[in-house]
This record gives sequence, C-alpha cells and structure tokens, in this order.
Amino acid sequence: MSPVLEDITSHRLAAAGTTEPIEGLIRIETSPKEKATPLISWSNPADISSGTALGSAQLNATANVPGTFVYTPSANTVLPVGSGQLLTVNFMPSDSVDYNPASASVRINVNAKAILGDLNGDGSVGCDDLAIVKASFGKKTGQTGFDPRADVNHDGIVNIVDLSTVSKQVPAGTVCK
Amino acid sequence: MLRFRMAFIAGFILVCVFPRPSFADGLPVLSIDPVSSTVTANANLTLDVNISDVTNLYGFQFDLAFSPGTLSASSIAEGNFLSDSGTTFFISGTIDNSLGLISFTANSLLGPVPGVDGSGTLAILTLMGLAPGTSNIAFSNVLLLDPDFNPIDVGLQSGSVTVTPNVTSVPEPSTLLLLIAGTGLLGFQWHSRNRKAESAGPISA
Repeated sequence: MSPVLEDITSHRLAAAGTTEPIEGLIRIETSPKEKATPLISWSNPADISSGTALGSAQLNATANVPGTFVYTPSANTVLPVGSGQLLTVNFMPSDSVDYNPASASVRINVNAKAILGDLNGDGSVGCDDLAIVKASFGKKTGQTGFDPRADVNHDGIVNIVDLSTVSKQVPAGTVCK
Repeated sequence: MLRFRMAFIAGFILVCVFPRPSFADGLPVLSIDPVSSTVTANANLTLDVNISDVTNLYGFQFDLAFSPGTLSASSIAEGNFLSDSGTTFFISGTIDNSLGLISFTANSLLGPVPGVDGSGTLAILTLMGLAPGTSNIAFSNVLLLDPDFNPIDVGLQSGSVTVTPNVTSVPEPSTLLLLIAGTGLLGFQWHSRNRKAESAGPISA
C-alpha cells in the first residue's frame, strides 16, 4: 500500500532549542484507514422435510452493519434429501469504504418427508408397503412376526384398519400380486 | 298333490331348523351361502361368504370357525364383490385345520376410491368332509370398514354343513341284469367261434 501525502501546508514545526519557525515543506506519511469486517450472525437452521423450499426461516443471517445478503442456494430452492447441506451467504455492506464484504455458511439437514402408508420409507406407497402389512396381518405386539411398521394406527394389532389405511394411499388402479 | 305336500313339509322343517336371523332394518348381513349344505366324507364343498345390503364398503376382515373333526378347510379365495369395482388387495388368512379356524381373511380396495354398495360374494370357501357329523360355520373377528376407516355395523348369519358317510355304490337290479346278459352274450359268441374253428380242421400246405 503506497503512503499518501497529507495536508502539506498546515503543519508548522519548530526546531528544538529555538522559537524560530522553520519554513518549508514536510512530508507526513500516514497509513490508510483499515476497513472493518462486518460481523455476521447465522445459526444452523432447524431440519426441514423434503419438498420444503428454502425461505426466511432458513436464510436469516444478520450483520452488525447495513448491507445486502446474497444466499447460495437462493430462496425458494428445494433441496434434495440429505444431511449437512451447505448454505452460504455473501454480505455486501452498504458502506463499502469502511467495511469489507463478508461471508458465512451454515449447514442444514433435509429429511425424507413422512408419507402416510410409506412403511418402507422409499418415498412412495405401493405394493411393497402392502406386503409389509400382509406379512404381519393378524399379529399383535410381542408376537413373532409382528412388524411395528405395519401397525399404522399403533393399536397393537395389525388388522384391516392398517391394511385399508395403506391401501387407500396406493394409486387407484394399482395391481398388487 | 302328494309331491306338493312333501315339499311344503320339507320347507317348513328347514325354516324351523334353520330360521333366518332377524336383523335391524337396513343392517347388512354377512352370511354363509347356502346356509345349510351336505357333503359326503372325502368330498369337497364350496360355500360363499356373502354380504347383503351393505353401503360404502371399502375393506373387511373375518374369521371362520368349523368343527375340525368333521370338516377341513382347503382354501379361501377372493369373491368378486369388491374386485368388480376396482383393484383390491386380498389376504386369504391362515387355515388351521387342527383348531378348525380360518383367521384374518381380509380384503381392501386400493386407492382413494369410494366404497361399494349392494350385495355380493366376499370370499369363496372350499371345505372337505372328513367324518359324518354336522359342523357350524361361524363368523368371528368381523370388521367392515368404509373409506374413512369407520366400522360398518353388520349382522352375522352362520352356516351349517352336514357330512354324510361315503357309501360304496351298489348297482341297481336292472343294471345288474344287463351286465349278466351282456357277459352271457359275449361268452356265447366266443364259444360259437371256437366250435367253427374246430369243425374246419387243420389247414394243409
């Protein structure tokens, strides 16, 4: 960084041991004023379920000075299912003379959305889910063969209520062998 | 006239022995059809499990009990009452012939479709007669659901199966006579041929 010449006419100095002023030009070298870095506050957002678009609940960074936030990915983006996905923000301070740009990042977990009847967690309801109910049909909690996933209404027995709850979520016209 | 009287008496006896249960007006009835039947030992018998006058049926389950010494269950298959209205998921249930129980037979429509109204066959039961006697075919653990999984009230009508002895058939007298006459005729023809052959003598070269 090159020094700057500052106020060369207003400085009058006296030599040591005399009251006579010294006339002439002097050069005063000073360092430029250091820019401050804004402080950005942003915490890891709460987990979201698949299909949820990013919004103000997630993209909510704040700074100690005015400025604009640019998020990546941007608002309304729907993230895939996965944990620890990176969200970043680039902050441009309004006072770019005194403040530097800043950035921050957080991580977010996107969980698979709980779908009624999706007993095997594959994101859809189909014959595989009905097969899970069939395998446990008539079984009670504690009995051999009881699969808690099949007890959809959590009443301790797998019966027609569980079967119909799952079957109703299957697309109409589906044929299951 | 005599025939008419006999038929009337037989009908009267049937009504007295197997009276049709009375159910509240409009209540659907789950029944065995025919309500009473006869099968010989070692022979098969097919019975329908029927529903009548039901409204908005989406799914059902039931158990069936029978006398294990008198009958054995071979199979239980899906009826066409629900499947005529859409695709279904049928669970035939578990047959325990030592207990005389078919448990957790069930069926449900697939998809967000309306329930089915009317009457029809929910399942088809195949039994085999084991030993002479009479067995009730009784329902338990019955649950009928509408598309919102609300239970549908239903009346139950059990069935009855009588197993008769498997008697070896004896030919009728007329059949027996015909058999004897036929055998005699064949014998006579054979005898005549032999005599002709003997009178012709050996053929010389």
